[in-house]
Amino acid sequence: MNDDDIIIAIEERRFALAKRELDRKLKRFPTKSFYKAASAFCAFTMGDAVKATDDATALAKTIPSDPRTLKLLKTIFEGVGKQRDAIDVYANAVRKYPNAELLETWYDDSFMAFDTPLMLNSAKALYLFSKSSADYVSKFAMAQLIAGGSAEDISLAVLALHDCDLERDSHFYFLVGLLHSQLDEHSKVIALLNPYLPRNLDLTILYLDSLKKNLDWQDLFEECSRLIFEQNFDDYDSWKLLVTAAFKLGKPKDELASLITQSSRNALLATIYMNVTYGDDPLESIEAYYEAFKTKPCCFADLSAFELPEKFVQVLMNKRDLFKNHSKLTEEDIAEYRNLEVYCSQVKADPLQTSIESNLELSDFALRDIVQSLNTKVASPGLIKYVMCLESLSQKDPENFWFKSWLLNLYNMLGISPLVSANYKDLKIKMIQHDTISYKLSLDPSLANLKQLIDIYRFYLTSDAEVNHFLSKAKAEGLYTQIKDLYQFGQKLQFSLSKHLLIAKILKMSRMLNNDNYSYFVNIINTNKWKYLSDNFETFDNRDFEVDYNFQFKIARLELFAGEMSQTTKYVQLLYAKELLLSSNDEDLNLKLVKLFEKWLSQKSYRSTLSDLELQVLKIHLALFKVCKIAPTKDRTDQLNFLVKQLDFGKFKKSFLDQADPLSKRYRETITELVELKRNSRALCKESRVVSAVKQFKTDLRGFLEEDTPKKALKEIKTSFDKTHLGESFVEQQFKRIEDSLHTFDV
Amino acid sequence: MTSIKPFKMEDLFHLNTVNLDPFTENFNPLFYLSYLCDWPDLFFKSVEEDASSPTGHQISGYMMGKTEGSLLKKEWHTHITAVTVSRNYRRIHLASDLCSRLENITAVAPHETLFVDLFVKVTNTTARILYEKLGYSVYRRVVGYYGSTYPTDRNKLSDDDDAFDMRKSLPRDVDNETVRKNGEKVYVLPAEVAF
Repeated sequence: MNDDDIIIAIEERRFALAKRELDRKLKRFPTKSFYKAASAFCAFTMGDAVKATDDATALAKTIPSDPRTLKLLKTIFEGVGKQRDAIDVYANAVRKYPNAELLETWYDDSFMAFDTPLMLNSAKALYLFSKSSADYVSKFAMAQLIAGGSAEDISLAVLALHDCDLERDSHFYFLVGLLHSQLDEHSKVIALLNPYLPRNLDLTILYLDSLKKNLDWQDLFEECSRLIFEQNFDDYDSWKLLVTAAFKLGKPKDELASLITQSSRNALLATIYMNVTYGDDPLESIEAYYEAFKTKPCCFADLSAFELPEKFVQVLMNKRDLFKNHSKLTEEDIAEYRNLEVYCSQVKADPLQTSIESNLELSDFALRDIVQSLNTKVASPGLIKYVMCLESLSQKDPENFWFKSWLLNLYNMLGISPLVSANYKDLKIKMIQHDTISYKLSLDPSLANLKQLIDIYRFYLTSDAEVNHFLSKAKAEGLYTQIKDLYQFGQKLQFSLSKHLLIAKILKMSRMLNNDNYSYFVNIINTNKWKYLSDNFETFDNRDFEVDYNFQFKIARLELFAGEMSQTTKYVQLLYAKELLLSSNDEDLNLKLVKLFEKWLSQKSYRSTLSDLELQVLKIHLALFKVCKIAPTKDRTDQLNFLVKQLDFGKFKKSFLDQADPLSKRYRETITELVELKRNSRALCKESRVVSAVKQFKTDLRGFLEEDTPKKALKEIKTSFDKTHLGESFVEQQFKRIEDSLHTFDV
Repeated sequence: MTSIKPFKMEDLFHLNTVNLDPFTENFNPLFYLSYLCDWPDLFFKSVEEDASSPTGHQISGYMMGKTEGSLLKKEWHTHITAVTVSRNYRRIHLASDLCSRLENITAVAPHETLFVDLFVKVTNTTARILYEKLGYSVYRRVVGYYGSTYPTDRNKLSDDDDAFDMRKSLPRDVDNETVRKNGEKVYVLPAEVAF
């Protein structure tokens, strides 16, 4: 077995084989640091943090120089939460043995681990090691581009770049130009890029930006003229710069206007911008734009950039009244009418009340009305009516994903997990979209739902490898126009909050279902526990809470997912601590975890990430952990009394279930929490008083669930539902679909 | 008020209003990454000013293109992999503008390709008409291009599975040798369109 295979065996948890090989190697090479480090790594992966830390610390003191040893030591120290020691591993080694291989490993490791401060340090160390190396100059400059080091280091990088023999391609010019720009040396950017032709889009944008910041109005005017009129680059930002430069140069407005001969959308909008910039009445130019684009969906999104003259607004209002009172509208009229309504919703003027019988062309109005009405609390009968309405609209216009997206939200609000799952699939949400939208997947525990969540997790596994491959490629090939974006993208994906929320959901669901996948995911958090539980643990929130408000009617975001929005890194840490305590039998570890868990539950910054119910349930878990997971403490009796008192279903019913609509996410989540609480209490605590309380809790919960309140509530809604607009068979079909999706829980 | 900017991987976090469209494909990161690293100039987006957005703009569409093929065999060309526009910015020729920009970039040095090509479903008449207006014509019918099983018979047509390979010649193809009339009647298998 070679050295790499030993590490692979450890990572794949084939410990017996790995240990046998390591023992053999250590007998043969007792002083070789790599095998000592591998042995410590093996202990770390097996969960023996004390031995791993002791062995790694002892080895680190000898300041080994083998790059593979250093890599393992850094992993162990990071894993056990010794961040300072992790940093020192490389820093001490390069101080004692400054050689190229060591420095390069340090740089590569910190770069691929997205450890930005270390990446900056190692890049500078590499450059200082050999200032004449083009490769090291490239790495040093790239680090400044990505992380924006000190002004001194950026200047040093720029100087080094000018002297090195890197290929002078567009990537190189972009790198040098952007570093000059970071130093506010705009005239140097201009001098650099002026002769470089043809400039690609990255360089064009940088060049225009530098001309503007350098107040170089004449060159800016000429460059924009060349782009727009000679190269047909119909780019609104360039149009605006052209107008600004002309104004700053004191060119007469007529002279500028005579240049704008095009009738493109950008040209018409630039004419309005010109009038506004020159302080003239823009009415005529606004009318000209409106006449050309009044039936296009972009119309008022474009005009929202300008203050519309009162006279023009009056014309719009009169037109709207005409349309409102006109029974027969052409397709063009309907398109314009819809735009006028978009405008009215922008300025909050007298919204038109529509109903389900509006024709398909006005369906956006119905969606707008539904979304706006959700601004105030809507009970389940109202939500069911909206569901029917959107299901009908979605059938008629299946290409309009806004209907499906809002159906997903409504089923979420109603707590109908199978239809949440079905709509999520129906929207064909894939790949990176999971990272931005999976927060909407509030699912009941079931094997099918668990599979759906694990399938999403697979995306993260493959994407990490994909990003690493291309990040290495971009680094090696000097793709400077892409490197910062790739680095930041990789960082956001690797430390994605959504990924950790997903792991927490999978852990909970797989544990509740006694599913085999549980051990895989527990291993993930167990191996990285001190990293995840450390105060330095940070994640990136890539979730998209805006998407549902970007349909043609722009509406301010509602608080539909307020609970999810408050779930931050601290929320993940609380859930991970709970899962670790549930899975661990190590008393020393449990004691540390209980202390941490108790401290966090008393801190506002952690408590604010939880709902009232979650906080209450976690407090009970804390008592369970104190009683069952650590050596008896002096407050054990108090904890037992607390448990017996709190494990009272009637209390939960009164405080949470009676306050929730039976057809709501809150209701379903409460039931799930209570089922889980009952199971965890039973599994953890063997104290007779608590066992009796849990038994009663289970009986009461089961009795409550047998009443099947959600189905009764749905039946009541169905009885009084007005079926005339949507047709009886359609409504019946939808009610059946919902009813079939309301299943009871297995207590 | 459309401006053109380079596409960035981080845009994928802000692309839902465009990519939730049922006809727009969502690829794995590998696919976007390979285009950004290999053909960065041919992957760009259109953005619209939006003061209410945290980024100050919203993405209205994007173009993903590449160059491939042998010049010797007269197959050196630009390929449109994906062009898509948000529902809120349709019917203003934005897709056409994105296509024209790609043509303009690749018609000249350093690319100087002979033609631009793309694939459309045989049944997607709307797209076919749009591309015909832009000067594209059907070069051949690729049998079973969108099918789930690999076809073996080039004469076994299926409107649901077949694609039209549409082309537009660029100035370098002086004699228009890379396009032809009645391409609808020329049937090929998917392996024959790989470069």
